[in-house]
Amino acid sequence: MKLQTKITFSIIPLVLLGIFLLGAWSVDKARENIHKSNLLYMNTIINSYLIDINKVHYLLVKNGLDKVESFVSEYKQKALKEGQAIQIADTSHIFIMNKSGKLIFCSKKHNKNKMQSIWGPIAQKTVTSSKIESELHMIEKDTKYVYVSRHFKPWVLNSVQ
Amino acid sequence: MGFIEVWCNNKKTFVTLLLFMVFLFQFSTGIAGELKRVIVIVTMPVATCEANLKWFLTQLNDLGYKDGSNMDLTIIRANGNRQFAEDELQKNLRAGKPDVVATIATLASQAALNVLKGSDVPIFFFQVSDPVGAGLIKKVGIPSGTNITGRVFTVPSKIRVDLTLRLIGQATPKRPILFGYIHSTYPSAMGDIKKLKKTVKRRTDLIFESYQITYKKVPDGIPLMLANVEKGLQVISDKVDFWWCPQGPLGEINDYTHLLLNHSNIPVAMGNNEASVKQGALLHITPDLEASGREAAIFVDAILKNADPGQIPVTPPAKFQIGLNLSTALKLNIVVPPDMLDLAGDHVYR
Repeated sequence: MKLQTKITFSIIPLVLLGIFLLGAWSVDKARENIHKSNLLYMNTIINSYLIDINKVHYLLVKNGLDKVESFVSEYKQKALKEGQAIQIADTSHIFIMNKSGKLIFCSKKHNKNKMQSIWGPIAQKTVTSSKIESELHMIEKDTKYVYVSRHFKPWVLNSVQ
Repeated sequence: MGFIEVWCNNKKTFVTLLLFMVFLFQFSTGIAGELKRVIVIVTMPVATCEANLKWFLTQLNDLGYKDGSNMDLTIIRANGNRQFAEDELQKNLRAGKPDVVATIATLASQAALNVLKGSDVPIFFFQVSDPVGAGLIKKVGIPSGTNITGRVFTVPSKIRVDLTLRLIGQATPKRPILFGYIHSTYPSAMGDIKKLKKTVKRRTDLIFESYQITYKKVPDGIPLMLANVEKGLQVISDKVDFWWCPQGPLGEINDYTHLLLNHSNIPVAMGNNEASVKQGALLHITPDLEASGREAAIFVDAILKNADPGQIPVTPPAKFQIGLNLSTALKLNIVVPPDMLDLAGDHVYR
């Protein structure tokens, strides 16, 4: 074998290995950035929704109406309607559940029961977590779903997206 | 040539130049210290007039006008007597032409217009609910083209009706809802009920049932007017579901709301001011008094700086205040919507 050929055959695998490693790194980086971008999107939506709920709740507390059943009930309905008005991507859902995992609201009308069976346990886990209420969020990357969750303690509402 | 020689040769020129410089100096100090003559006419000694006057004078002060320094301020208190206001204004005109006349509420504004119509003395009115009905201007929203302009002191009747219905519609499933409106013949009250009836003319869900009494000059005429209001209560209270306080001095008297609340079992849906809501009226929506007084002073300042009042359109004020009585709402099983509760801010009472 000529020296030229020997050198070529020894360099090509190194180059190929380099290309392969670079490709793998790019894919991994892209996946991480897409994940972060999705989380940022979901956090933004759910945080702005919580701001609306907090605002409505604050009005009740400020005016001593947080124990008046008629007001609390009406304002909760109003808060749920705000959730319906949120514009989200087609692949996203927003759920609101009570502390026992029962679905109160789902942004997608179909497959409600299926949603409850999947997300109910996650909502319950949110409630029992020791983190600060109404600012809690849990992110699990290892499932096929990416989600964020918030627990609004005064009304025992869990919002999951 | 020395200075003395130049001076001797050009005496006339030097003297002319010197006189011209003295004249310029006087003129410039004259502009800086020019005294502005401002006359304010207050219709009557009620809380809203006094509050408007207070904020008007405060803002003038903030703008640099000091009585006795660069402003000669005269306040005429009409005490509900239009003729008295006209006579006092005439007396003040004999002492010298004012730079602007500011009037608070309808009678004072009518008096000023009657005396100064066709003159070049600017008039700025505020706290007038119905300037068109009072004969001050032809139309709201456009410049008058004359020496008068001002601010309308009322929330459009459609807004008041819609806001009220958002609340009491919950308490009264039956339709139509009847509002009782006991008012005097004071111009703003007459104009207000006329507009309210026009607003609801094509609606089938509410009706205004009115009862009119003769206006008597405030404060002396208050007891007689209240006695007549009580008669009106007996006449129409079995026909109405809610009371609606009238605009004008009668509705502003605390005893008026007190009379409605204590001499009938009918709730007061719309109060005339914050005091009425504190007493128990469900709701009031009125122009913000501080903003109204301050805004008037800003316009008067512009007029004193030669703005033409005839080119300033008459419009409603920029800022309003909503007040709510939660005890009354709870008693009537009304849930105040969050947006209304938010708008009311700190003006929520029990």
